[in-house]
Amino acid sequence: MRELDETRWFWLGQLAWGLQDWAGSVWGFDETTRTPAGVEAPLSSALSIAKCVRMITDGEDYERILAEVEVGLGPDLGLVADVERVEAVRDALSRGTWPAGIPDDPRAAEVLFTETWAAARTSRVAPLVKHIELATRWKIADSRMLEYLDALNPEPFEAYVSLMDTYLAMDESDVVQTILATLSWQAGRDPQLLATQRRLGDMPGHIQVVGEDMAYVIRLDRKLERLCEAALEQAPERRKGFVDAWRIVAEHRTSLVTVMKSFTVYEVDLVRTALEGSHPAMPPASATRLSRASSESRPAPSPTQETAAKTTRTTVRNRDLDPVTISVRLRRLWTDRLGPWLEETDNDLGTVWRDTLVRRVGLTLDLVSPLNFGDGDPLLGVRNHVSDLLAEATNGHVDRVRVSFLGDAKYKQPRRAKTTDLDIFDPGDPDHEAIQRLASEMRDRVLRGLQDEARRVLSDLHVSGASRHRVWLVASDPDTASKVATTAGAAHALWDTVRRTQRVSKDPLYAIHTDPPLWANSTPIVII
Amino acid sequence: MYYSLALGQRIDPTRTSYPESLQLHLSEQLVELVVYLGEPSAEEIADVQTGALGLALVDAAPHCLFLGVRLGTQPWTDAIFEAHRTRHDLTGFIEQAGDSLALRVLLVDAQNGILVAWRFGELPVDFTDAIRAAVAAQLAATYDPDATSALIDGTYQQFPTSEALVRQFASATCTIAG
Repeated sequence: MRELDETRWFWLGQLAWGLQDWAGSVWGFDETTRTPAGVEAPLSSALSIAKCVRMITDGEDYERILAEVEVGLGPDLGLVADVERVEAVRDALSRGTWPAGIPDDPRAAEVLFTETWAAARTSRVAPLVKHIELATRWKIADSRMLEYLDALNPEPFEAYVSLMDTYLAMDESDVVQTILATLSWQAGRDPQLLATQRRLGDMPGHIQVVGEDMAYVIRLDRKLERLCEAALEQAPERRKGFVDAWRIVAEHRTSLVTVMKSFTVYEVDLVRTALEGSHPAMPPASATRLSRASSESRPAPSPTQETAAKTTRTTVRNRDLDPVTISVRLRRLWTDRLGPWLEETDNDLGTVWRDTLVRRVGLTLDLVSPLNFGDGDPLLGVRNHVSDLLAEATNGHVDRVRVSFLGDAKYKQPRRAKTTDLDIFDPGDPDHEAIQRLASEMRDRVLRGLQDEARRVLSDLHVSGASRHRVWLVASDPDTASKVATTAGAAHALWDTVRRTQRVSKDPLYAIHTDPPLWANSTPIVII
Repeated sequence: MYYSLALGQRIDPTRTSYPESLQLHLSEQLVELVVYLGEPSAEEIADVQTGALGLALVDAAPHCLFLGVRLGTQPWTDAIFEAHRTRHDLTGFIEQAGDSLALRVLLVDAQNGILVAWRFGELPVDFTDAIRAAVAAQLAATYDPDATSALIDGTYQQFPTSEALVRQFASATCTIAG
């Protein structure tokens, strides 16, 4: 294993130790070597604890928590899920502390340890076995998530060579080495790069290496692009050297992306926040925390403090929105507020907001525009406002925005089968008015002979969003949503209404989610 | 393994029926696939005798391995092999790395146990070595029948067809022309 991989696993192992330590001695296990294989047992424990935290903050009852965690703990720990262990987690939450370096958001913490467990498991069992364990032991049902976890490489630095090592390995008489060394030296004096280095200084060693290398690559890439263009007319004889150097930088950028593809989402976020200069969404681990005994603790995330002592559904925090609700809120924000506002304020994006592809990548909303803004930033001066709106709409799940160019490739509408409940906005999707019309159309299509009880249940469903192929329906509370399935005639009436509205013979595409604020701001499909 | 091997005869005089299945047997001399089908059709017999034979290894170490098999025009199917459950000593099989092995395919009528068709060939060295490595990994681990059973159940739940399993997780494949 390469040194950087060892550094990374040492850090990941420490996060697992930290969480286990925080949850108490009942979650204990024997200390083992901190390698991917060695941290597997601590990771199983940490992942189980993270699941407990998430489920407690979601207001789940003990029975469900135990059922979920019992399978996950499995045979390799010799631990069993029991009330004592769940209560230990609840007590730790009640103390109001949270281990340093671990994401505050319980879901993000669970994802971090799921990814880490999956990567570590790769070195122990065949890929199929890991896949089945993720599905059965850790209850990962989403095929895209499974595919992602299947592909995580436990040794992302296996083939990694830093940019500096790459050019230092060249012949000293090679002009490309001279170009890269000179440009790197110049970039090293760039105040922005120095600021990035300072931000990276608090982060784990492997994040520092990747972040710093990426910062250099980004600067050299831009610089060499300009030099290649300028050399065309001003110094054609030097252009080949610039082109070769640019190619090496591009190759190195690709190798960095390959490394980061096997990082956890949390690690990628740490690199990105360091590069972008924003504050990390999740604070980094203390680099000096070397022993369990000296582990630091920070105040617990406030959501967990409030819910720690209660385990009822009514205490679910707003922050814990489900992914479908987050996507629908982002869709509505785009169609109802942001898009029209950009248009009204004559923003460059405003003219094309209906033709912009909107996607969520973790904490970031990607606006993929058909217009190429080059070095310009259409959100200049309003970026903070947009970020605030995103954070407000999603309770902090999405709090940054990025604009990119769709590119020369023609945009193709996704086929019906390729769309998902998590889609946000595709060019040509209905805007606010079109969604109103769709709700009205659905109202006209609801079976006239519908029984009163079924009609009453459906009257609580409002149209929260619609794409070209899908419709999202929002209920005011989970019980109402579940009544659709349990009330005679309601499910079929809804199925038939959506089917006829979408003009398909079978398989209408719709989802029902629960979101009281969005429900209050959406149009019903049945009016009693 | 069998009392006799002659076309038109029972492969085991003491048994007259078998569940429809595919079995994989490994030994120092031979890799054998036994296909049990009830009243095999002429097309199925022809597929065994002369169809292109596709093989795909899905390693599930340390528990077991799945061998995906496609006989001629037939859809993919698979056989499970658990090294710890075989009655034969597999040491010789494992230690012959780098050598190719003979392949024998038997088609048996599951309703009467009669050998209907057979086929002989040779497995490519790379593919045989991949199976050897997968078997060695099983034998190197402590056998856990419960975990193996859970893995097999989970696999069949996640992958309702052998083709889906092979497509996503085959680590070695080969095709033997008809």
